Amino acid sequence: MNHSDVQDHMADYLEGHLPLEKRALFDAHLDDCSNCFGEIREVQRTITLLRSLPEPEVPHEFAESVMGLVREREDRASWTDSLREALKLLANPRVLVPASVAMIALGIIGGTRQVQDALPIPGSSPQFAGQIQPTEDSRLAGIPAPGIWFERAPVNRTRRNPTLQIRFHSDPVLANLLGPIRVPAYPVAELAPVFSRQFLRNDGQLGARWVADGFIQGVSPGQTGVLRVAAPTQGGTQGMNAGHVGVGNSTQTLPLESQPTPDEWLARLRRSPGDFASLLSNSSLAEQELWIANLTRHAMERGELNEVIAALRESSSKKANLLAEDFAAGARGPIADGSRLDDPRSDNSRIPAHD
Amino acid sequence: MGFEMVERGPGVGVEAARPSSRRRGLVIEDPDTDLIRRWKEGEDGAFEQLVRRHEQRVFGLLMRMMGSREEAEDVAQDTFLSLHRHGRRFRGDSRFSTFVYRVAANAALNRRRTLGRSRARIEKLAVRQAAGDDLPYSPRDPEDATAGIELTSHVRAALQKLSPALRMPVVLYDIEGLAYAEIAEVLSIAEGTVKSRIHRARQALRVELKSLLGKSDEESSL
Repeated sequence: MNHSDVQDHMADYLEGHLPLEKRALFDAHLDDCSNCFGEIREVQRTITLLRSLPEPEVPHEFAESVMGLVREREDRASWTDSLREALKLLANPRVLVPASVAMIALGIIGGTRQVQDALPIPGSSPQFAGQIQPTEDSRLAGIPAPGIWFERAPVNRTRRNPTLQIRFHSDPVLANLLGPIRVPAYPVAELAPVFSRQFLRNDGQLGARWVADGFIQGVSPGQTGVLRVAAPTQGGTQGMNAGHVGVGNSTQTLPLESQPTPDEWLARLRRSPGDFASLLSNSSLAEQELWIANLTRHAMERGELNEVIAALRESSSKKANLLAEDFAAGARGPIADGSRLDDPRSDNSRIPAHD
Repeated sequence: MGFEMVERGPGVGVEAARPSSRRRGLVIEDPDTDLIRRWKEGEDGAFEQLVRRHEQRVFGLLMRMMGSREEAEDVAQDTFLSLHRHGRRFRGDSRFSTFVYRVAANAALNRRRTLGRSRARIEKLAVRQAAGDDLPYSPRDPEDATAGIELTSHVRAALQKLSPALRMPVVLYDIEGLAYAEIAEVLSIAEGTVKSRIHRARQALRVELKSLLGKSDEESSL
């Protein structure tokens, strides 16, 4: 038995799982090798130390707080849950999420540069394509027939609602396809999640920005807009009955102009870093990633990154302080794309990152 | 200060000291079966009982993983909300506790993936701790207020320096007392990978705690 064997069998030895014969060889080696003997002893003590850690005390009335959240959530409409969950799944690429209870309205607004600024970061952040699944109802509303990327979704005959499906891509090949691909009917929209709260404050709707990649319903390539997902209504009391779904439903359109531009966001961030960090922390993880990445890039382009980071660091808000480091990390390299499981501290060679 | 120093030899006492009474390979009836059935049948309070039954292990794991009590509580809530949302799909292929660990582990890793990517974040935590903030190494636990606080703080700090990929298996094995097979299931990795990661984690911790080990060696020889 040599030093390498000791490494291979150390765990089994420490736990008494080595067969008698091997254990004897192991012991014999330890008798002759002070290095291995010392190492084994240190590992034993390390394990003992780990097991001596006191058990953390569960927060007071933790179960009650969980049950309170459960009840609160149950009180909310189920469709928003489904959709929010779908957006959260951005962290898990290649997930196909049917939000089968959503009704779609497409509010088309003239293009502005700000949407371009909010588009996904090439090769780093998860990208996803939104696909509208036409149903009988949506076709009635004038939505074109599906193209190659659009499969026929089962018609929900109870609710008679269109279905929204979101497909997430982390694969760079697939992600690249999303940009230039031409779909005869519907354009493949490049979607970047935005603060759901922005939309939630308006009739409880969620949404995502898109950019047209072809002519559709009078929209030219390159034009941008807001994809709206509205609550399904059985009786059309909100003007969103299935038959009315379609482009230009003005009652459901949130004007793009009402959204702050990236410059305005940066100004807002520098003015109230704590509020900004607090707002961001209420977004999904994927949204946070995209916002940090986009704003970091935007701040770098404007030469304002240092000021932004300084404002966040100097804030008395803990969330803002942490966000500062995220911006700093974003400036040093690509924002983590979800494939990096390891903490950056593991970058040192002492703790290999892979098996 | 003093902790048991195990002498070399077969078994060396480490396995015997493992915190869980679970035995590998034994099929034990899941103690949560009845509660899960009642929960699926819609009985009020069954889920709450499940939360109470598992809150300690979930919170313990998340404290080790997140480092911060505040974040651990946050992720623990997410874990149980996620369980409530998806847990009814649990089909009993594994123990419910394993399922709970899996949900908690995913929640922890996803949270760290997004928010824990900055090296400075760890340093930031240390600064906040020094400022007396609600932080991982603040002496919040009564046990910490004893003479063991320094030791405990060092070990916790060393754990936080491990990558999550190494920290999770070693926490689940050496602290939570799961078996290799259970950890493999929780983390969806091969059992051999679990073992190798635990070994690497222990080695990294050994290096990190070397000064402490030497000191305790002297103390233990007194």
